[in-house]
Amino acid sequence: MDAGRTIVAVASARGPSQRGIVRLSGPQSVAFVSSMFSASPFGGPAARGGTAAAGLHEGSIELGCLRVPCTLWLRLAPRSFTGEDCAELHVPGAPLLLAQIVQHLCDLGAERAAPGEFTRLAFAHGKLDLSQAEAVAQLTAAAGEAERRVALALLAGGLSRRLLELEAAVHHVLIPLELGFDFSDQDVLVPLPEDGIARLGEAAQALEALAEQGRAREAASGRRLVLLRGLPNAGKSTLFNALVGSQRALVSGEAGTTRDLVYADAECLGMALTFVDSAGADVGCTAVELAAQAARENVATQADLLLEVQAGTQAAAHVPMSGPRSLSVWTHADLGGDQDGLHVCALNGLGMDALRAAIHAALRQSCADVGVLNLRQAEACREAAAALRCAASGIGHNAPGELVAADLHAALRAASALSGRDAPGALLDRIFSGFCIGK
Amino acid sequence: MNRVQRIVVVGGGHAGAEASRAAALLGVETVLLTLDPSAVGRMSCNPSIGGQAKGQIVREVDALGGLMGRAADRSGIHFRVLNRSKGPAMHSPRAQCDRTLYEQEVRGFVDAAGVKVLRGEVAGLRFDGRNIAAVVLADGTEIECGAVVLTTGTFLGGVLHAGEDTQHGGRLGEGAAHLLSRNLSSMGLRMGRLKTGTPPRLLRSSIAWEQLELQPSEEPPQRFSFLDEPLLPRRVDCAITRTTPEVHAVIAGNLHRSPMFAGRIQGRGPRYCPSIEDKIHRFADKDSHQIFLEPEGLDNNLIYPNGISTSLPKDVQEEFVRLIPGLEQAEFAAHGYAVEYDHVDPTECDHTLGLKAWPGVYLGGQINGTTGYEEAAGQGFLAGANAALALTGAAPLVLGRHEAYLGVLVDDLVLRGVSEPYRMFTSLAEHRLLLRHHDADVRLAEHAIRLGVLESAQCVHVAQRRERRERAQVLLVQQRFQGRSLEEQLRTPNFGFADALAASPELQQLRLDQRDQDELGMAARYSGYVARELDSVERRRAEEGRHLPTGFDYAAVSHLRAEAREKLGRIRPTTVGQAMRIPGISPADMATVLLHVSVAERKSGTA
Repeated sequence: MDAGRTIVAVASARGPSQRGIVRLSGPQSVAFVSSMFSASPFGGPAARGGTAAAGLHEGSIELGCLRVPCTLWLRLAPRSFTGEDCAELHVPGAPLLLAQIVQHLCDLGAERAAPGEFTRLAFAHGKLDLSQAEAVAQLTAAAGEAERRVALALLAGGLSRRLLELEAAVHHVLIPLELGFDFSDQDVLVPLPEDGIARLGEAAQALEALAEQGRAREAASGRRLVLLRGLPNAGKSTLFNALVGSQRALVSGEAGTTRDLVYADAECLGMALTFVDSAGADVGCTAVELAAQAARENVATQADLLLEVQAGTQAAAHVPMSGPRSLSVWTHADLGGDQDGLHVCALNGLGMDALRAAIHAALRQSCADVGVLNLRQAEACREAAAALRCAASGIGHNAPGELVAADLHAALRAASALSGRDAPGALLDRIFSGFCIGK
Repeated sequence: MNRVQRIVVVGGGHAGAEASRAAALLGVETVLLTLDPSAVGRMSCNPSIGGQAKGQIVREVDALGGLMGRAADRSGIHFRVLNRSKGPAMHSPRAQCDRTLYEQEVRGFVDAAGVKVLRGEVAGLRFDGRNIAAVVLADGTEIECGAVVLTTGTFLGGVLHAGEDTQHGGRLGEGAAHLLSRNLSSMGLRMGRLKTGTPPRLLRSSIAWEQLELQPSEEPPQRFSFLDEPLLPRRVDCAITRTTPEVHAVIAGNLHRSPMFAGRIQGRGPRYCPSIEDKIHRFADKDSHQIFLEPEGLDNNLIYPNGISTSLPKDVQEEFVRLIPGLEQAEFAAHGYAVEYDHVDPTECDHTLGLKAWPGVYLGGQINGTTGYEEAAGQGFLAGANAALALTGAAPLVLGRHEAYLGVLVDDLVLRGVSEPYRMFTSLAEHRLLLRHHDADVRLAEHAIRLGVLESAQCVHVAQRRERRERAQVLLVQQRFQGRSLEEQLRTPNFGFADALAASPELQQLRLDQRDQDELGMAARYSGYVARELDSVERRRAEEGRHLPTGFDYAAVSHLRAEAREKLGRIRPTTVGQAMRIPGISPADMATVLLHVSVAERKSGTA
């Protein structure tokens, strides 16, 4: 929106993928990436001009004790997408890694880009025409009907309840303080509540927990993750292809065809999901096969839902139980089978609607419960929590009331960024409705 | 077009007095039109100036060169700093004034500035196209002018209510301006109706003072003015009493006779200054309310009972007042009443307090939906100054929210509008830690010097003070004592400013006076928080600096929500920061708008 800022965001599609891209735009882009990037001696042709030269650089970036291979693209103003100096870091597509890179760049002084900000810059510098820019703006404004519904569910459910709790805890302490400032000449004064510190601490803790969940989610994908697993040759890949609506996974009658995890995004009754196909359990003992097993189990811990896939024609060797985070699915329904659970035939579509409904129902429950905060929301939660902790410690140390109030207002501002409510107006309303003001 | 170099100020209350004086001191011929020239600067309600957030406003008006602080000092008979037990940012000076002396002082300042005070009722405004050309009086005469400042207070369509009695007027025994109200509404301005009230006045000699708890003035008194230190009148005591359950019973039994409850008053009153019948109705569980008995002057036999504003019938007023301890024998000099009046939706104004649709017309005070002498004086000053600045072709005076309560006041009015009489609270100023009353002169020095209402000697004085402070602040951060900077040391309990001076010869050379030392000590105590505030101001600077074109056609922005389109098109914010403060405008709305703004700018080649 203005000159001088350097903005940063993950530019690759959300969710785990082969390559992840972190993009920066602004005058300090080159300086920020240079501080973490070192070119490999065998880097691309641009390496000869030093890492500040436009073009492609091969090398690695350092994140704490971690060294990650990275391809760096530099585009200098005005010959870039946004018209400003731009940098792109291409790294392995682990969401957690991408989030850490963005955080590191923010620590250096970059600011998180607002939705559609790169596009707006590009447009402002004449790199896009209005219709192109508007198309992008509309996409970023509502990235899918499903996400909007999730956001609404969030606000209707866990998040707004926690925000109300936060507001109540803040008002519990802030109202006596504000009465003391603005109405001290009237007989409405009340002492600070004795449980003030405890209430603020609880609210801070709840927000921190919310932010942590948000971070875990974002790390896992930002969308909800559904993992298909089961014995080799159970028909996982066929089912996977049917769920995502394309031939993403290679299918064959041979056991152990799938080794790598295969990811694909798809909507399921309006819900944005990422499906993951995995190698069959108990296959082989080569290093590659063991690695595939480990990768699957790793994803299983992050997944929001497990589809335990078994061939309905097989006698169940070990029957996995349907739990809160898993559904039992029996394939080859066209060939019969009478086990408990969902029976589907991915080839003729039998039972697929029921399966989608079951997935939707299972996830809707979990989503209302925890909420999927994006990084900015999670940051606002942490900011609010930090301000609450500061206020609580201020009260504990007998800090002047106006400083405690400054922290509490900061917490309310952070919260109002999440909920869109007008913080100062709401506070005065509370005061006037609760106390008889006026000489 | 050559505009007539004359400003007409309509109304002689706190807003009108400041407006006319500021305009005249800026070198423009100024006429003050009032229904009653003997009532310029009259305190319509309580005889006091200042209080929470309001005291800070008075200091800011004074720092810019306004008269309210000086008039209050010279007529002050009871001084107190409210919130003394809290930190310095919350300290609020307040004074009770001798009503007659205050009027004399105000009139003196207005006359000294060369303002011509005339009697007359303004019936309307005459325009040349959309520009103001003249004010038209009720008797048909016209006064040509290049700008007009309307500060009509409660007189615009004013109606007084006391019990079943209703009469036209802006104050007891005075007329009202009905023609002007109709004229304003015919100009297409959005208008509203508000209500306020005042308590009865009692005779001092009829009160049993010996039974009451006295509240003496604070010594030494905290003055308002930075500019001079005149001799003060002698001080008097106030007293405190309370309502009783018997009083409440009488009021509750007569609620049906109150014009509010009978539905004869439509205007909305302030929630923070309710009438006694309102308090008893809304807070039925409270069986007692505080009342301050405030003398209206030194030789004046009137007492203002602060806390029992009422529009109940006269017989009920007499009955319940005489049930209050100490007031058993109270004699009435005047009865309480409510007043309903018209105001203009302040979102019709821009940040100079000028009407957006009618260049040259400025509004200040209750006509903008505010309440309070201090809010009125501040707006009057800004409106008068801006009218003069516009006529002389100079840049307007607009204060930021982080610079002054006055900045918050104007910004809230013109972007958010009002739904009840607006009064200033410290909680409305998000940067209140930056807005200490003590340093208002230094904080606003740059504006004051550029504006030029202050005399040149005063400008030099404040510029020197400002430079001293800045140098001292640098030294306090740079110089170290026992492993810490002096500023950090000042934050510890056992290190005073004298210790800092002892540790630093350079600091001594600055010849800081006591005020400098006190203020630097306060600044050091707040420094961590102040740095955070300044940081957040800085972060918003980008939004504040991003201008929106004045004539931008929001209706042409497809995809903009209807509410955003209506509000942005009507309020016409000039920057992105302003737009984001309008209730109901989201960041997504602004993203959409900015796309289209960029197109428009590129087409016109101004990008």
